[in-house]
Amino acid sequence: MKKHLVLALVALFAAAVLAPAAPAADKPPIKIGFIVPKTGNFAQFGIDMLNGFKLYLSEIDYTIAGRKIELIEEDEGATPANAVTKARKLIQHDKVHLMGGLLMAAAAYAVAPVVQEAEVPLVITVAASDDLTQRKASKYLARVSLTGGEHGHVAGDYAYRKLGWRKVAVVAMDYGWGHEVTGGFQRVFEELGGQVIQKIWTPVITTDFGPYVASLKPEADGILDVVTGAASIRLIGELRKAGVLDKKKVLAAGTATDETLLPALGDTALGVLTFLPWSQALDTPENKRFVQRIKQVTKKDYVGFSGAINYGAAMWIAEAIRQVGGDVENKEKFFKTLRATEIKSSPRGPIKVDKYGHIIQNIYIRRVDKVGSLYQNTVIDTYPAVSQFWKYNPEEYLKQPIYSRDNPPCKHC
Amino acid sequence: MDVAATGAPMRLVAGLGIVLAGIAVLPPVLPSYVVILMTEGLIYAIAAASLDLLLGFTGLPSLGHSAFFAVGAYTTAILVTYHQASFAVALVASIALAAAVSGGLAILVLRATGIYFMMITLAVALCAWGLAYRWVSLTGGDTGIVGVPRPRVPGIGLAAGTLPFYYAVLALFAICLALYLLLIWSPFGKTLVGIRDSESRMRVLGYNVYLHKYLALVIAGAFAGVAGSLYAYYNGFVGPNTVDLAHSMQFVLMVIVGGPGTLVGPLIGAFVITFLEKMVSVFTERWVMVLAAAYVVTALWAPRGMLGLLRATR
Amino acid sequence: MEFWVNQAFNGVSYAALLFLLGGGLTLIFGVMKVVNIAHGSFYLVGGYLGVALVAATGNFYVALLASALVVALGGAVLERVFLRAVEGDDLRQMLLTMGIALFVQDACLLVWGGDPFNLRGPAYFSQSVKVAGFTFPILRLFMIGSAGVLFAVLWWFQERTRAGAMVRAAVDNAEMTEALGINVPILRMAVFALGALLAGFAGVVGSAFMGIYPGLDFEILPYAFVVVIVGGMGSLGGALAAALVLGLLDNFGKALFPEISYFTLFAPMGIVLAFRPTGLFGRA
Repeated sequence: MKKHLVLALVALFAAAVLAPAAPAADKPPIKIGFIVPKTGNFAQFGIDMLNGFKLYLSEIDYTIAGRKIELIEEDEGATPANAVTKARKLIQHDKVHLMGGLLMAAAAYAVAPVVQEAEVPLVITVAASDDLTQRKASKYLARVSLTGGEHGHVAGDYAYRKLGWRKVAVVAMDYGWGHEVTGGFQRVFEELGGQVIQKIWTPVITTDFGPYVASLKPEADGILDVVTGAASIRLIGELRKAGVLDKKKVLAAGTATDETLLPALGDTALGVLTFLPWSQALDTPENKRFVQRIKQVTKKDYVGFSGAINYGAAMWIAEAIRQVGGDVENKEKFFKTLRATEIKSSPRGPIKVDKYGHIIQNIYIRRVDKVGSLYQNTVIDTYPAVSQFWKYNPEEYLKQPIYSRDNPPCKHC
Repeated sequence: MDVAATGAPMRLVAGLGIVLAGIAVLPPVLPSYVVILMTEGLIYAIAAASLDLLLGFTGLPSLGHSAFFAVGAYTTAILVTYHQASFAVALVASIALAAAVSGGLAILVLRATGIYFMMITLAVALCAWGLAYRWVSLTGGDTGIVGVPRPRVPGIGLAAGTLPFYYAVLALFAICLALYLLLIWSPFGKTLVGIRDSESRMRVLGYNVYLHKYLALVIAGAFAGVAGSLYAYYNGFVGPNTVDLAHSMQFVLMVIVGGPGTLVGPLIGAFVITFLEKMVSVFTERWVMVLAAAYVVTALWAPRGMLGLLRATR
Repeated sequence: MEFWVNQAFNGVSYAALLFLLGGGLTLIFGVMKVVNIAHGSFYLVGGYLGVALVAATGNFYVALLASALVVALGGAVLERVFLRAVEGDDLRQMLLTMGIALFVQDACLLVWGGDPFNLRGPAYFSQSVKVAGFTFPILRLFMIGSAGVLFAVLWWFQERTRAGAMVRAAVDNAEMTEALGINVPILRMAVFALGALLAGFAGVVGSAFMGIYPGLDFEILPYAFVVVIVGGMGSLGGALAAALVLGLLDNFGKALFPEISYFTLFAPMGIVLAFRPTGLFGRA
């Protein structure tokens, strides 16, 4: 009897010691929770995000370092409250090792404290809002998409140096993204010597841009447009109809001419300049391969930005898992590795993150052109390895308040 | 006629007691996601039942109830996040403010009756949404107010976990439920039902109809404030979505789905809709269709709501 | 001067869209006392059908009429099959129309996907005419014209025809109308279909103006409600007046005081209701 017990104990001990050496495939799968909108206004973005993310996972056969990847998708729904509930479900019920996705900034802000409390890493793959990786940065949070201020800085520099603008009128959506792009633009543009002479804040749901376009100051050299989504079609259409686009250049924030909007925008958007970390027309082998592969999934001519950056996000996450040998249970090590992971080439270019968790990446200046029967965002300039702090010192940068409606104040309006 | 208003109160109390005991004992063995949704269901149940006081008992179909819910939620979020207020302070302030706002607006909305009352309360909700969205210095605009910490209940310690918070909500729910029952069994409650059935008769009988309606609005607003306050703690954040058209409609739908004028019905409605939205969406992307079908089926075949259906099958 | 003319013109053209949106809803409200949450869905379906039919036929006007008629037919079926079953119970009607609205929203997402579409009207829609030195985009002129024509037709119908008199009677007192031997059920179905027709029409015109995408149904629904609330339920003239007031206020508000642009629609509603709970032209 006693002998058996001893044997059993020895066997148990041996099992415990040998277990890590056993083939990793026997380990339980790595669970990744993915929250994206699948219903409501932003459903298509969510579907595109998933398509991109899953395309990479399917290319590696949902296996990293010998462990299977289990992707658990949840609907972000139309409200941040919904995203919070789903995040809790993924953490407490599914016990995910990592959480990804999130489209709306408000949802990301709402979810961040939840993952922090549970000490589960969160990789934001779209939601843009400066403070998520600045004044409210958390060691459990990384973002491999983009943010407003960072994009504004680039646009301000480009407008002053390359476009030669000195006076600019801004039309921007009256919420975080609009405020931050405008704020970043204004800071860099005015420090170089330019002047923002008008800021028009438009409600997020604006059905008619006529009155705004008609009240644009004529003395502006150019127009900064920070209106996205379906509203972008209305604003650009209105700018075209009112003749503004024939007289002046319009510099628009990234997704204003997202590939998914190009068919609806049509000729109205020709010549509009935008800035974004990716373009379907980006001429690199990685991107060409990605575009060709994703088209097989979506069966559409136009590939959206959210699909491309989520493909890159999946590459980045997978690389980190590979580097820890699949040992995601060691949270501290996993997250340190995640933060230090670099991808040399992805569809959008190199990917790495700064010590606040935000991506450092190329930002491309693009122009809407028509090539054959299709429209495209032709890449005409590249700002390599852009930091969210631009050329400023991060510590000093963070002492300033976040860009908002009135910061920086409009001195020349 | 309503069981709650006329029928066997003891049987109702016993039934509710059993259900309460059930939802008090079960959670430790339930999956945590179910407990999370039950917490949400309880919070919505408080709100839906408060709306039933208006819609079902007084005959005031308010489409603007989310405004008072939002007042409670924002009050709590602001006090707790920026002023480190305690649970008790935040709760009392939320109730007081929600009741006060409701009292102020009641003067305006009570000028209308019937379908016009619906429209004017809808207008209240739309304006409240505009305020939540645009009054950025107070409400945080689109992003809202994030990082609302879970309440610290002295003695029990941090109610941060899923279960402690669930029990905190359950306790408040039980208190609210008791108050609701007392209210609808009181002469005041009977008068409200009288007003619903025939306003002119009550007027002839010498009741101050306006005052009763006014008080009903204030009381319902106060309870909505309780629910709103808990909701802020529950989500850890409050944004303008709390008061948008869809949310406004949701309370009404919970009452109708459950069965207006029954008090118990809206509790069922709140749970059913919460679980339909958040549980079905785990299994299918087409959860919106499932919810839609549930609404249509209820409207067509359950004229007295789900509670009515339950009674009919018995 | 140019500023005032431009803005006034923009305001009137926006009012035209608001009227198309709210005009149908006000009829449905007035006659049927239904809080029709699905009104935005008629708009949405009209818009998507318009896009599909323009692509298929290449003719905007054919697509416009066909879409509006299909939506009207859909409305009639909806009334006959669903709404009639819950007649007289405004809460159940609301629940029902909410269910239908959600269903339609999800169905549209399934059928048309989530990318926004822009309805391509005839080429001249993107051009402008110059009158006395002022520029007027033709699309906006078309919006004003079509809203004007529809209003005139409806007005003539309601005030000058026998059927219109029946509708007016049903608005004021449905039971009495029925007692007079008028077939109120048919009347209700016709009015509901007419309301749907207007919304479907608005959907096609609106899609040419501002594109179409999922979720637009619930985005525009508040606007329709505002028009109805301010104008007064059941009053076509009220809806037109409300649309004009709101369109102009919204436009000048946006242009002159962009700070308050969120309230240019809701604030007038609050003020009107405070003084006239039944709206500008509504009867209690």
